[in-house]
Amino acid sequence: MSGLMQIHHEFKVRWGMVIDIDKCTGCGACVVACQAENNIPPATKPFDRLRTVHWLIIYKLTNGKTGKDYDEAYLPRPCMQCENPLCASVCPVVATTKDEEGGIVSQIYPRCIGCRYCMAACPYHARVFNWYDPVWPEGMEKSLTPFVSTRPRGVVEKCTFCHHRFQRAKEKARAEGKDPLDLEEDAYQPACAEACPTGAIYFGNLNNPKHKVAQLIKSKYAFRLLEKLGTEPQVYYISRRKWVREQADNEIKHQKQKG
Amino acid sequence: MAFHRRDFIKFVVGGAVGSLFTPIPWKLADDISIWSQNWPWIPRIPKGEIIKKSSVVKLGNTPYGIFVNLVGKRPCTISGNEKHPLSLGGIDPLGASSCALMYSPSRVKNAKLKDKNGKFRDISIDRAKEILMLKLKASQSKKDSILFVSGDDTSSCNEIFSALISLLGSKLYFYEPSDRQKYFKAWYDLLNGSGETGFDIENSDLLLVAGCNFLDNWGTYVRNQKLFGKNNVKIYFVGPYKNNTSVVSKKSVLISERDIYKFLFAIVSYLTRISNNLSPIYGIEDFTEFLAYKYNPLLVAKEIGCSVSDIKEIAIALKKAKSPLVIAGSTTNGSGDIKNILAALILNIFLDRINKKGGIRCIPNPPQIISSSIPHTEILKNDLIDLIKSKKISKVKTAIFYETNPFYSLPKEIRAGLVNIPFKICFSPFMNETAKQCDLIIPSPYFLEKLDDCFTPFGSGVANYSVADKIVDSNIPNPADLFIDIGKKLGINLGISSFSDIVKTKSEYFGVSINKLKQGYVWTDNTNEIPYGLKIWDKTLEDIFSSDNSNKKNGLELIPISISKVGSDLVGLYPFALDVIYEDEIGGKYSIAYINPTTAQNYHLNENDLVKIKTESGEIRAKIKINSGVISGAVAILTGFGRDIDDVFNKDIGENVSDLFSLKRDEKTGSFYWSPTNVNVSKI
Amino acid sequence: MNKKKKSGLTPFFFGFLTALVIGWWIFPNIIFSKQEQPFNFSHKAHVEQLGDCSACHYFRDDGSYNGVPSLESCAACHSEAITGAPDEKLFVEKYVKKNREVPWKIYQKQPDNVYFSHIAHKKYACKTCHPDVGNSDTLPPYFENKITGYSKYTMKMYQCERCHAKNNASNACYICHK
Repeated sequence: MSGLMQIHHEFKVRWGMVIDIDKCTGCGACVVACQAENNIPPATKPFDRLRTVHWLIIYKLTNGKTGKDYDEAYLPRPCMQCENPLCASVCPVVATTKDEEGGIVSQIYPRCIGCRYCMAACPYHARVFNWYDPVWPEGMEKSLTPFVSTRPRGVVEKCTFCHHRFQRAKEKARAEGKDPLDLEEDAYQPACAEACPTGAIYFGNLNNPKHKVAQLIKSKYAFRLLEKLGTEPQVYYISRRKWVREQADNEIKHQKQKG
Repeated sequence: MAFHRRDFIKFVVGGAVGSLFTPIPWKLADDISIWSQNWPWIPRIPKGEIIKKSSVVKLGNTPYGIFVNLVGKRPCTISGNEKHPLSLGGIDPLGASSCALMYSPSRVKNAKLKDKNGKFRDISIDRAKEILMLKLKASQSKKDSILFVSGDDTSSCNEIFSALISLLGSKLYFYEPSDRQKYFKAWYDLLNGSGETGFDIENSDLLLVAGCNFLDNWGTYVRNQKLFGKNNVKIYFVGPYKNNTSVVSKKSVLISERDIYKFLFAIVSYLTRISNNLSPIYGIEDFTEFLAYKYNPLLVAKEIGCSVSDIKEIAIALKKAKSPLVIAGSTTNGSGDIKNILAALILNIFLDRINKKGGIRCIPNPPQIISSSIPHTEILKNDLIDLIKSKKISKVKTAIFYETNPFYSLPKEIRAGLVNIPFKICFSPFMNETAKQCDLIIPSPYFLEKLDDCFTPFGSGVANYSVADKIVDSNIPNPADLFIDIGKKLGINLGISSFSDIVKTKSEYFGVSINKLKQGYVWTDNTNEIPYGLKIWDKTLEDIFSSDNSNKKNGLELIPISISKVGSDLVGLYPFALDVIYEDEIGGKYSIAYINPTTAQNYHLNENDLVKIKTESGEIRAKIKINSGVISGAVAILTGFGRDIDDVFNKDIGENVSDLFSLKRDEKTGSFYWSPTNVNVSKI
Repeated sequence: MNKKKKSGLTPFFFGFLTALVIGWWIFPNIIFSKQEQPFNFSHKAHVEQLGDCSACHYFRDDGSYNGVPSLESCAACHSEAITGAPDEKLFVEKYVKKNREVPWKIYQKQPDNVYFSHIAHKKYACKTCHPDVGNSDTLPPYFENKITGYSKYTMKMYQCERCHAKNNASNACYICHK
């Protein structure tokens, strides 16, 4: 643990994700499902970082060896929904804060002034900026979903763990007379977790011992990205391969490990 | 009293101070900020009730069941259908974008007729129907003058189409050449099996995947992925390139696609030595002898460039597993040699996996509702490439392509054979390469816009039947209904009144109510045919495996890779495809060619070099990327790019790898394959 | 000697008063434009016929609120003109026959990024936030803000926040935004 001031939020519900890298085939269904669900305009040029907006991105990791020892892995990266969000602490207009009901870091588009301090602060590069107005090719705006508002030029956006599904799950729980903050595991799953064909993405309440994610994070193979920064992300990864786990943090070679 | 300037200034100042005590400045500021957040050119989102309806994705890749979420009457997202045996709740990237794809700019909205200058003119559907009827009528007098290529081998519409053309005197009904045909030929013709091969992955605990991208583009790949995730199946991968399957495999061995059958036989050879009791199947003694003579593991390992320990490890794993299964396929559907598929099936027979839990199941053939239709197995036996290479193709005057795209995905030789047909008609939802080559384009409704059904796609474990109802209103008629109408006008009675009639009859045949099927229920049946005449070895097979066409390599080997996220042959790059295709997968308007460090050294190539890749059929340009996951002496390129579709997602992105395909015939089996082994790479 | 009468602070007060008058009386009137609903709908008559509000305004199975009823539910009874009312005739001819949804102007129209869950507020009476139309024969006039395009009665964020704070409900951003 670093010397950063640790603010531990005691929320009743902490939505978290566990991604099993040994199951991710890199098919891309999660990214496409995310784009479709969250009204993200489709990219019209391959990998144009200036114009493409994507909340979830899949990184390809390699172990740097050649020949028979060569190995690769895919790592999907949503917003980490950190417990100590660096982005929320720098926003001058409080367009992004850590929500208490669930621990999702919220991003409010009308309030965002587009200064991009949060993008500079985020160590995971999870935030995207709308450099241009979103364009849907003619006719395709008919496939917009009612779940997420469309963003104009000049605002920052990022993965929200499909919190609109959380809102709808709470409504359903209320309609059925259940406690909206004590949801079942399959009542609220983000679009990426639902689409993943191999089931590599697990999602649930980290505080609820009945949810699978709460059990998976106790595994010795579970790790988080850039743990040394003390951001305490709510997205965990699992891999039984040591070289994958080692890539999660910036290790300086031959550095003496303390503790 | 005179009104001086100073008074006026005092008045104005008073007004300004006074306005601070009124709502004006605050309300104006608030309203202007809201006005600036509501620009009219940013689209508004719909509001309404969310309804879930069931459907079956049919976009050129494998069909599977989904739920469509509609807001009001418009589909907006896709959810998985957990109870559907072909998807088990999973979705693939193409399916996830199907709501947006429906509005793609490349949709065919009107029927089109090509005029003398080669340009398309919009015509009415009725006029198109007339022209189609005239062409069909003209072919009545000449035998075998209509050719029909169907891109959907699971739908009942094949019965209607094949019935009409067979009653008009033509038996030339084909599916697009694929691995399914190779499996059928290997299983039915060469091994004397019965029914079609089904793969009981649900109960399997170990999979040996040979060559194909099992988890991303082979068979019922959505189901494959779900089962892999749920059951934690161990996968061993053998193939020329590290793909989406090998990345999650327990072990992957990289060998050339040409040598896969040798690896599999080396495994059998090893197993014959360490097991005592061999199943008493026809030909086993001859087989064991042959293996000992030709496929000694040490010799094979030396020849194909892997280690003996790899062969031994996989062989022992297969022996120890309770229900192993060996699955072979081409890296791109249809492009590989049938020998690999044969060898995999033989290995399955050796391991006694036929009609056993977690093994190969013999799925019975589909029922035939229209008596005059060409049965599914007959169509599978018909080889389109055989026809094009023979003299019979010159007799064909009319060709009809139904939701298939041979002018993009098949080798140039086949395209050249098809393009000379005098009149070509295409039924397609999208204005793709085949549509552009045809003389008459009739729009085919999108899968959400029509009633359709699906019987046991290739790769299924058991026989299954699902129905997708019409969810979105559209005035595009179902091509099957068009054919029934034309049949009536020509005085041919097919015995059914409409497409929904045949779907209803089929559902009654299976004993399920049509409404239940339309709501997402799937009929399944796990009865298996018994392959009484199944053999593991005979003289023909010995002949086939004695010849070796992998020797003379005077160039690099081409590995065409198919992945699901580039869309399908029929559709092209779907709206969100460019969000998931990254820098190392496409080089702008160039494709990316992967070579490994050794090959790079031998050919003096560096990362990001622009090269020309040439075979006798054609050439493409690509950028080099060094990738250790490719075998030496080979260049791997992703297929699915270089589309000739006029929309912003497809234009000028990559090049078409099928231009490089060179058609070859395996003399002993008569099966065609087209991954070339004499690729020339030179720097530009 | 000519003594100029100093006007003093009179113009200032005049200006002050004028600003107050414009700000409080004239400005609120000119910033809103009055618009008519597509046709008049009598809630009173329908309440007499159908009895309960929930006949047309109800919670669906998944907890969402249907809001203003769709054309389908109105056409269930009004597929043809059943009373002699001229408004009903207009409705049947212009909307039912042409299968067009009625473009009602919503008094509480909220922007796209606002998410309001009716079922979470079930314990409050409808008229806490909405005009009490249940007993009236006519629909209240609709005033539209000329700059923003929203209704005069659209609730602002501070009104939601205030009530949330008073009732110990969470004021986290994603409770109400999407």
